[in-house]
Amino acid sequence: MRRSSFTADFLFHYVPAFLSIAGTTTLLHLLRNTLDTPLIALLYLLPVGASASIWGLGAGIIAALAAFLTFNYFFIPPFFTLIVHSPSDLVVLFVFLIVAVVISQLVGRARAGQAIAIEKARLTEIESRAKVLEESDRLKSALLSSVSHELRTPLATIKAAATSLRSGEVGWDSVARRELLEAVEEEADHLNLLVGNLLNMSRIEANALKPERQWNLLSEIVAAVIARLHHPVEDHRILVAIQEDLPLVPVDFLQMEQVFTNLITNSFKYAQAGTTIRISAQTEGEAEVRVRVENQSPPVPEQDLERIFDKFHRVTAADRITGTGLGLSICKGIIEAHRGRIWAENLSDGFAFNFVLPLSLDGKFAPKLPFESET
Amino acid sequence: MTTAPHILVIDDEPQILRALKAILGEKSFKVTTAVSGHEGLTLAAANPPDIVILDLGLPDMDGFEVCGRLREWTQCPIIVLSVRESERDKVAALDKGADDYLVKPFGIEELLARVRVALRHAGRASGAKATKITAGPIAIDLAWHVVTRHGAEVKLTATEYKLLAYLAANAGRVLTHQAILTHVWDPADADHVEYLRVYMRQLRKKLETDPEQPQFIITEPGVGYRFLAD
Repeated sequence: MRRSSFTADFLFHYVPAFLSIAGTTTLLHLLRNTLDTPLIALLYLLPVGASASIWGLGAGIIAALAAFLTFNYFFIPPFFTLIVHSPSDLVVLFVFLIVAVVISQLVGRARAGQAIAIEKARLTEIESRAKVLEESDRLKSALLSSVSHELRTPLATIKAAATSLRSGEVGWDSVARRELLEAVEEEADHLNLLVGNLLNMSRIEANALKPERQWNLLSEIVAAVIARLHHPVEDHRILVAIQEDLPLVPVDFLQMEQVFTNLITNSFKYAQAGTTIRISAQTEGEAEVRVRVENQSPPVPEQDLERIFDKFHRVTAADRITGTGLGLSICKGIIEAHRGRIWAENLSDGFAFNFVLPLSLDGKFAPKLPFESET
Repeated sequence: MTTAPHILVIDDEPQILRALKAILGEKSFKVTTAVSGHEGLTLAAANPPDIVILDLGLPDMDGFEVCGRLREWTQCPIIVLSVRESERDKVAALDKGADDYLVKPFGIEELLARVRVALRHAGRASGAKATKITAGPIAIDLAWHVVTRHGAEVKLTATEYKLLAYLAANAGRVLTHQAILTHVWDPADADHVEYLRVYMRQLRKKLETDPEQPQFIITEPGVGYRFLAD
C-alpha cells in the first residue's frame, strides 16, 4: 500500500513538478540574453509556487530544489557547472533556495488546509443529512402512532354502533337508533377529512403541493365549506363577514376549502359549544387580502402560538382533544404555497387564526368584467 | 315506467358492489354488477342498461375511456364515482360524455337523487322539454324568458338570463365550468372561470334567500355548478 501510494505520488505529483521546472529552464535559457540574474530567480519562483499549490507540499519542495540546481547550473557563471565564483551569486542562490522552500511550504499547507476544510464540510453535511433523516423518521413514527390512534377512534364508534343496531336490541323508532346512525355518519365524515389531510400532508412533504391558482370568490369557498361541514348548528354559530366588494382572489379552490375546513374544525374542537366562530376577510392595502377565523376558545400560551403550526404539535394533551396535529401544519403549507403568511394570536375574548394572501397572480390583478344593464 | 329501471354498476370494490346492490335492489331497481371496465362494457352490450354507475378507478382501463366507449353506441346516463382528490378525472369523464358524478364517500340520498335526475333527463331527451321550472320561490319560464321570485319579476342582464336558463334546463345535473363557459359565453372563453364566479354571485344575490348559503345554485368544488329545482 505504502509503496503504491509513493509511486502514485511520484508519478502524479513529483514528475509534473520536475517537468514544470524543466520547461521553465528551457524557456529562460532561450531568453537568457534579455534577462538578468535576479529576474531569472524571480521567474523561477512561479513554477515552484504553482507546483506547491497544484500538487502539494512535496512537489513544491522538489520543484524548489530542482530550480535551485538548474538556476545554478544554467544561469550562474561559470555556466554549465554547479560551481559558484562570485560571493554575491552565492547569496542570490541561497536566498532563492530559502524563499522557494518557504513559498512551497506556505502554499502547500494552505492547500492541505483547504482540503481538510472541504472534507470537514462534507462530514458536516453528511451528519446534518443523517439528522434530517432521523428527524423525518421520528416524524413518520409519530405520524403512524397518531394516525392509527386517530383512525381507530371513529372505527370503534362505527363498529359499536353497527353491531348494536344489528343486534336488534335497539328499537326501530327509538332516539338511540337515530343517534347511533348519526354517530356512524359523523365518524365516517371525520375519517374522510383525516384521509384528505394525510394526502395533503404527503403532498406538502414531497413538495408536490402545486396550487392551481384561479380567480375565485372567498365567500363562495367559505359557503361551500360550511355547506359540507354537517356540524350540528346548536353546537357553534358560524358568522361570515366578508367584505362585500372584495376582489377575486387567485387561489386553488380545493386547497383553500381544506384551509377553511381545518381552521373551522379546529375551532369546533377548542371552543366551547354555544360560542360563535367568526370568519372575516377584507383587503389590506392594494396587494393583499387578510382573512381571519376567530373563535372564543381559551388563550394559547404565547410560546406555543408559532408552534401550533408545526406537525403533530398540540397544545392540549392528546387524550382530551382528538386530532392528528396535522390540520394546522397543512394550512400553513397551503398558505405558503400561495405565497401568503399565516399566524395565530390571542384576543381579549378568544383566539384568532389570521392569514394574508396576495391579490395578484403573475403580477396581474383580478380582471374587471364589462358592465351589463338589466333588460 | 312498466319495468324496473336496469342499473349497471361497474366498480372493482366488492363491498361497494354489495352495498349498492342491496340498497338499489331495495328501491326496486334491477341491478347488474361488473368488477372491471371490460366486463362492464361486455355486460352493457349484452343487456343494455337504463343507467350506468361507473367507478373511475378501475384496474384494467381508465374510467373516462369506458365512458367514451359506451358513448360510441348508447346515450344512457352515466354517473361516475370518484374520490375528492381527482377533480381532473371527474371533469375528463364529464367531458367524455358522463352525465354526473358522485364523490366517494357519498350518502345514499345523493346517489338516489342523481339516479332520479339522470332517468328524468334521459326520458325527456326523446320527448318534449319542460319550459317552466320552479325551485322554491323561483320560477323560470324558458319560453317567455321571464324569471320571478315569490311572484315578482326579477330583472336579469342578458348574460345572467342565458346562464340561469342553461342551468335550469339542466336542473339537477352538474355542469362543468367549461361546458357553461362554452355554452353561455364562447368556446374561446372556456378558461375564464372568473366570469362564472362573478355572474354566479350576481345571480345568487338576485335569487337566493341567503346568497352566502345558496339553496338552488350549488357550487361543485373544482368541477362546476348545479341548479337544484323542485
